[in-house]
Amino acid sequence: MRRFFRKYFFQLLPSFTSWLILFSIELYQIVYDLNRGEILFPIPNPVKDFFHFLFLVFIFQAGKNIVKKEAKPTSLEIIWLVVGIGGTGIIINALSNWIRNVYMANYSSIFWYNLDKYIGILTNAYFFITLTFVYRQLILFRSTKTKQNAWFLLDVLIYLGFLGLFEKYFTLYVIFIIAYWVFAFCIIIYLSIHTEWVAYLNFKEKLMGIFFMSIVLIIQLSYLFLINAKYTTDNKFNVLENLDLEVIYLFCLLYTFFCILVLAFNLPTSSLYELRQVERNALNEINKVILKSKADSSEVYNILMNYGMRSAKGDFGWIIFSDNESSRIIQAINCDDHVAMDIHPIINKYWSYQVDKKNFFVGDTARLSLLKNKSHFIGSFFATKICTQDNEYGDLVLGWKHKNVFELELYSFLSIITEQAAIALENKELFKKSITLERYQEQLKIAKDFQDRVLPKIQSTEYFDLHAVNQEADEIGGDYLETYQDNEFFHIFIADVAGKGTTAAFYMAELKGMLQILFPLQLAPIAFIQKLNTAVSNCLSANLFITANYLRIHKSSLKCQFVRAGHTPLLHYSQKDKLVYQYQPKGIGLGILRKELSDKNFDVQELQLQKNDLLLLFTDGIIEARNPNNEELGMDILKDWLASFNNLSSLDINYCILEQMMAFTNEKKFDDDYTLFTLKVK
Amino acid sequence: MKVELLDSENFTTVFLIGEIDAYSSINIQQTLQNLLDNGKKNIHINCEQLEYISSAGLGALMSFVEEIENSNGTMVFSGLKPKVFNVFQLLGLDQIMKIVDNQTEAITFFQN
Repeated sequence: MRRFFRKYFFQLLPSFTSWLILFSIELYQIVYDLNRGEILFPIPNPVKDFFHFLFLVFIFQAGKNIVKKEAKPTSLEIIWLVVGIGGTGIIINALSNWIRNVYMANYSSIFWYNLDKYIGILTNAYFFITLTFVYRQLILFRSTKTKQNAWFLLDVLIYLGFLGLFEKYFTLYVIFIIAYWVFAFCIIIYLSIHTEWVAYLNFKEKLMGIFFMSIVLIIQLSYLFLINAKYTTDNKFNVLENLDLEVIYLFCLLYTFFCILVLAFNLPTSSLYELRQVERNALNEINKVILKSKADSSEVYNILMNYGMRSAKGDFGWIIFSDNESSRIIQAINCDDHVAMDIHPIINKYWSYQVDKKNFFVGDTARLSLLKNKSHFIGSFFATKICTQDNEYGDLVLGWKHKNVFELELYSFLSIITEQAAIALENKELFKKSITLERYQEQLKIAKDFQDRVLPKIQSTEYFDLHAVNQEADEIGGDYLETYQDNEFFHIFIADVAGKGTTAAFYMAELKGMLQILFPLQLAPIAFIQKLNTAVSNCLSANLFITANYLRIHKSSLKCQFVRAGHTPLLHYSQKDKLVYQYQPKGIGLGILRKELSDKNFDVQELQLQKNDLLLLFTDGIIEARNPNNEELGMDILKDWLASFNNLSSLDINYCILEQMMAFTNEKKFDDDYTLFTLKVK
Repeated sequence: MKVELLDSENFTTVFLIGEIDAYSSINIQQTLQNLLDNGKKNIHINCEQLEYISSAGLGALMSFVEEIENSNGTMVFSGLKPKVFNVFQLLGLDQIMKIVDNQTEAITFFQN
């Protein structure tokens, strides 16, 4: 109550004060009339009319402010507000009327008579003006410039109506009054047809709307014909004879009448709007689940089942997930799991005959021979697949006990929410996969770091200018290069592990361990490779092998021994002959034969190196690089390049070869791993 | 890539057609494993229409060489195109696998 006063007191104070003054003047005038000549200062009529005008203007402003604050468009509360105000007004009037009748007999009846009359004036103005602003909120629910302009004109007309209180002091041409009414009528009709808010009510709300509006209409008529009737008996003041509130009366009556009609005619289309509302809510819910990264897929099934049932007003329903091996009920409403499991295979059987393989509706199950026995349980049903283009997430079945209860609109609605649910489920799956992928990538990064540590850094020695480049096509490659020197020999080992990724990285680590043991043993080249083959065969999986080249150079004599284990040939540029020699001695890849290899399996190539001679070792990624015409680079081109770059350092030779390769392939990155190793005798 | 089978009296011919990469090598592995599981130990691999074979494909073939030998069977390759033969030679597979020029030679080999 205190809050109410704080909120509305200052809004209502000016109008109430004007009303009190107006009432006092009226009383003063009556007393003046009764005691003619004894009161010195009679109050002229225009003064009274002026306060009446003020009263109306203030109440108009108060109504405008109060309704703006309170009203929520489209809700029925707004209509409740006027029902409340109007009803209260009527009760107050009835009370004052009763009091007037009780005190009619004695002198004070003049006071009570006039109080009753003025309460009538107050409640009447307050009700109609509030109603006007409530309707204003409803009309401007979807506000447009034209509607606002029309409302502004109605405001002007209402104020002109208030000024009509002074009409009796002037002579108005009839033509003005006719023009005023024609104009007012047009504006009121234009505003009254705007009942868009009705479309946003559901069936129940529309029924309530009709009920409230009818009450409002009754209250209006009561005010006009009962409460105003009190004044009509008084010749001095007759509301209906004045212009003041008549525009408002007309507007309120017409709009109430229009609203009742529109509400009544819109009742049959309510279900469609309700369906749209359920659709919007369902899609909102699904969207929320899509955005919620931690949401479970059961949440999606839940939403689908609930909104499906709500929209279809189904008697029972279930969601079933089937794969090649088994079926399981994910959700079932008003129906036991085993009943659903029992019926679903029959439904599935008919599904395959449908033109639309996704959605399927049967209005009368008695037509389906296999379901005839179940027709006491299931009269009609709708079934849809919860699927995206690539994945299936189950079937949704909604059923009714009665036949032919399915609406066509529902068909598209259920398709839409099922599709959205399928997308949400797919998103959940993709999200899970992306987390796994991220984990794999992290592991791959660890493997890559590990491989980088395994691959040795090649540095030139006292006798040889060395340089190596290595690039992996993927994160982890299968190429491996190792050099080692003891007092007598310089060893070079280049290898290519068939297979890439983490497997290659682990085999490489094993290979490094084996080489660390074998290098210091100072084995002859064939024995070295044989031992390596035995060791490798014990750890490689059956369908993997390693190709390798092993070179051992005597540091002082520059005599070189070369053994090839299935790897690409060795290129030797002889400074003396100015020629490139290609060596491809007999040999077999490591791990191909998983038994002791004999000396027959290998040949040792011996060569004598000289100052500025070049040795080029590489993996197949170099010679198998392809140009845009899909032609391989091949050995001959590589040999030509080596010959032409022979004057350069190892580093420059490698980079020149790579540059040439890029020009050849027309690409900055190659498809395969490659390793290029150049040795130049100092 | 395609793998086709043709059963003869005392051996089975496996036709390798197209290009064999890491993915299609799984197919070969399964085909050969099925043959061995069904007791077919004499296998003739016809490579006349084989354009390219990757190291994974070679690995798949090679993994059966010893297994077939151990079960007293024979695997014969025929009709290798020069490019494919070079790969076999480079790896040293020519040392451990029976390679003949064409289908007729392969048939003669099995008949003897």
